[in-house]
Parts: sequence; C-alpha cells; structure tokens
Amino acid sequence: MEVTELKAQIQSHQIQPFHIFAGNEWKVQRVYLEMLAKVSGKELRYIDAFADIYRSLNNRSFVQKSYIYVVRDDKDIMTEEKLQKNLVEILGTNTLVLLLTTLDKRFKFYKTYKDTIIEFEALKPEILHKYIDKEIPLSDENIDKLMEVCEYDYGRCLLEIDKIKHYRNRFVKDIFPNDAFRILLKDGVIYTPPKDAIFDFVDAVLDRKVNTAFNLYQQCMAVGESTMAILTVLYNNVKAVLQVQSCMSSDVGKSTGLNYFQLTNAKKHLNKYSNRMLVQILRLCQQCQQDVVTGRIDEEFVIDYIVTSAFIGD
Amino acid sequence: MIGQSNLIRTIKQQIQEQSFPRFSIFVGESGSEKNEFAKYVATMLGANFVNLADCKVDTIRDMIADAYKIKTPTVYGINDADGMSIQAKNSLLKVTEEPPNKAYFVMTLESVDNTLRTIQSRGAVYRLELYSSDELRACIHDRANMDIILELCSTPGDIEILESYGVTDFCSFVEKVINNIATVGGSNAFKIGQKIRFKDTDEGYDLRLFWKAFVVICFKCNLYDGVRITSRSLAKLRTKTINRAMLFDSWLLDIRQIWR
Repeated sequence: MEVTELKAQIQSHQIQPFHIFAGNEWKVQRVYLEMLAKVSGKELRYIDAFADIYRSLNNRSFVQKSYIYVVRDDKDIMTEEKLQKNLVEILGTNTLVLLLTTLDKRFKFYKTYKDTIIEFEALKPEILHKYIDKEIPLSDENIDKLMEVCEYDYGRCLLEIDKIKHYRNRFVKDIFPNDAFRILLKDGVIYTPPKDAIFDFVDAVLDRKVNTAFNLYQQCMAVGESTMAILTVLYNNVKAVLQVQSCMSSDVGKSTGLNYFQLTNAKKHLNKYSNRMLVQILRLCQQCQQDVVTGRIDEEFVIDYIVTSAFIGD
Repeated sequence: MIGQSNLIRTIKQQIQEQSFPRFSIFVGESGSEKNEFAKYVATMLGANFVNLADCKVDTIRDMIADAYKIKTPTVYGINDADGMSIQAKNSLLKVTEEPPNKAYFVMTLESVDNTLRTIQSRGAVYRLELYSSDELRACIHDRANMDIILELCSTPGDIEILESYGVTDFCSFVEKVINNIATVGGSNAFKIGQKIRFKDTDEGYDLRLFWKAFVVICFKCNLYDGVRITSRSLAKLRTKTINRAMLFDSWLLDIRQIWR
C-alpha cells in the first residue's frame, strides 16, 4: 500500500484495524500514527509485544476502552498464521500498527501482507528541505549541509535541529541559528557519519602515513566497506605504482598500458617503497585473498596484516 | 554425448533398477560438457529438464518452491555450482535430503571441494571420465593442427575455445610470452595480462587454456621450473572464488624471478 492511500483512508475516516509500517522514516511514521489517533479518537499505546495485550483483548467488556496499539517487530504476529487469520476478530474495535525495522521480502509474512505494508521511504531532498526550513531558519547552504550529514533522514535531522535549538535556548542566547549550527558541527556535537575513505586509505598506505592510514582504515570499517574491496583497491594501486616506478621507457603510458587517471595517481606515490617491497605487498595481497576464499584465514585480520608488513618492510 | 560410455552405462542401469539418486553431483574439468550431461540424464530418465539461470540463493529458493508443485518428473540442473554462496548451499540442504516426489537435482562442479561436505554427503558424486584421443579427434574441425590441439586440449570445451582463437595465433602468443617474459621490463610484463580473460565478461585468451599451453610448451623446451610454477597456479584456479588477475600477476612475478 502507498502512503497516499493511507492518507486517503485517514481523510475519509476509514481506518483499517491492522496496519504495517516499514522503512527508516520513523518521524513520518509517528506523524501518521498521531493522525490515526486523532481521526479515530483513540489513544496511542506503545507495547513491547502483542502477547502483553492478548489476554485483555480476549476479555471483552462493554466499558473497555479502544486503543491504537503500536508494536515493533512482533514475532507472534509475523510468524503465527493462526493468529494472523484471527487478528481482526481479536482486535475488535482496537487498531494495531505493526512497525517493522527491516523488511525481508523473501519471507511468507511479506507475501501474505504485501498489500497492507506501507513503506515509508526517505523523503525527497526538496521536500525534506522545506520541512527543515519550517522547523528552523537556517540558510539554504546550511540546510543542505544538515541534510547531508544526516544522510537525508528526516528523523535524524529533527534530532540535530533539537540540539541547535537547545544550544540557543540554554547556552548562548541571541546567537543566530546559522552560527549555532556551524559551531556545533565544528565541535562534533552534530554527528557527522564517517565517509567513504577507501581511496584515502590506500593513498595513505602508499605515502607511508602510518597514523593516517590506520585511522582511515577504521573509518572504512565503520562505513562497512568489505575487506575484499579494500584489498582489491590496494592491490590495483600498488601494482600501478610498481609499473610506473619500474618503467624505463619515456612513454610511461604506452609502456604500462595505464590510463591517464591511473598514471597521474600512481605518480603521486613514487619512491615511497622500493620495487622489491611493492612486489612483496602484491604477493601478500594475492596470498591473503587466496587464503580468505579457501577459509585458511579470517578476513578481518587481512588488511592490518598487509599494511603492517608494508610499513615495517624495507 | 561425446564419450562417457561407462558413466552412461552405469546411469542407465541405475535408472532401470530405479536406484538413480534424486540428488547427484557431476564433477568434471571445465569444458567437459557437464551441463550437457545433466540434460542427457533428464533424457535418460524421460523427465523434463529445467536449467537454472544462476546459482544465487533466490533462484535456488524459487527452484525449491517449484519442485514441490510439479506433477511430472523433472530434472533441475544446478550448473557450475563452484561459486555458489554459503546461503545458497545451505538452502539446498533440506530439499536434497528429502527431495519432493518427481524432482531430481543435478549439480555440476569442477571440483567437489567447492561445495559443502554436508551437500556432498546428500548426493551421489559421479566423476566425468577423461576423453580418449579418438573422442577428442571427433570434435576437432581444424584438422591441420590436430596434433597441437590434442596436446593442449583435454576436453571438447577446450577444443571449441582453442579453435575459436585460431590455433596458430594462440600458440604464437604463448611462445612469444615464454621467449620474452623474463627479458622485458617489469611494467611491460604486466601488460601480458591485458590479453588474458580473467572474468567471463572480459575479452582475451582463457587463462586456464593459456597456462595449459604454457605447461606443454615449457615441457617440450625442458623449462621445468616453468612447468612447476604454472602447474601450481593451474591447481589454484579450481578455487572458483580466487582472484584470477592477482593469481596471474603472482605467477608472472614467480616466472620472472626464476628465469631472470
């Protein structure tokens, strides 16, 4: 089901007894939950598990109040087919909203409730920009920056905006929002997620910048880069440097077969390692790749091992 | 089918005795027509044949769902399963242990080590026979170079690939590499890799065939170090997930080190 359909149902007061919300935009989901509560006149109640209210739902009473129950990732609802069949009957005049943290489209639950699940996808940047602008008077440039550091997640943007407002109200009154934003960003109060650092990491290794290399490697891991991807990039760059460094010909491009970009990049890192050491790094990379795919070693140690060997070699 | 007479006889007998297993694994070198053999098994069984497009976990799951619905005998061909992911292999465990009625599963591999022991234990492993010279001769179109082709190729698939390259061109390339690999500069040596195919989507000569030819020619020229190093690299190719480009570079460095 699309969000627009849900909106239409709410506007026409045709609230379904059972809803399923999925996606990362928890703030938008909360807005719709509040709309459901307002239109239906029922109170929102967050519960840990459906089992907590199952008994009370079965004990019907004329004076019992109806609620909109909100539960996250309830295993009983997601796996018990008998419960799924009788859910609407059990709920009676209550409404149940199931929130899903992850949506696995392979499972039977998804196939059964495909038409009921509403995926709250990330807001489009233009729309997010407008929402942020309504919340706090930041410049366009700072709004774009805020969206970028929050990875275009509306909920996260609101949390960071809350920090700015709090800073202004509690600590430095009369400070302009833009200035507050800049200060908090610089001081790291506004969380900036780690960026794609794989190429910077490889450059640091090739330049023998030990601390920088290991810090950037941590960043790569934080972003979730695969070890094999890092290994492949490292290998290709080391090979390019070796080819350029060992080339005797005046026409390096023709002799090595490297393209302009590879050549330019390789030339920045010449003579930091001897040819012998570069060959050793290549052999290490190949051996480690082979050992990982054959299960002889764990991949989590591979990059540390290769980079340490490279730095202490020669 | 070319060759495989003993294997075909064995399978026919098993089918007659109604003892042909529901899950079987056919192991053979690249180019040994394993996938064709899987189709042939379906013909012998009088069953439909469904060739899986790939060995990804979603495809395997769809196959399993389909296998429980079929009404006529069907052979499912899980081809070239060497690079199958762990999740895909695990999803096969239940259905291969208790296969649904009327479903047969045939998996083809280059090396039985490329699959889980738990999968091996659930199926009957059949190794494709080596081809005799007469059987290979029947596949050769380029009669002028028959002797060279028979020296370099051990399977009909290899013959097909080699003939598509042009036997003379291919052998000239390998000889040129042997003659120059140790004498050219390091940066030039790596350029040999540009003529070799490391992935299915690349262009160039098949790496396995190149190394096979390298071994044969080195042997003829008494370059036994070359034979040793290349044979070792050839054996590593059986691990499907190995990075072929890196392996080739490593081989190149080893050969240059020995021959310089």
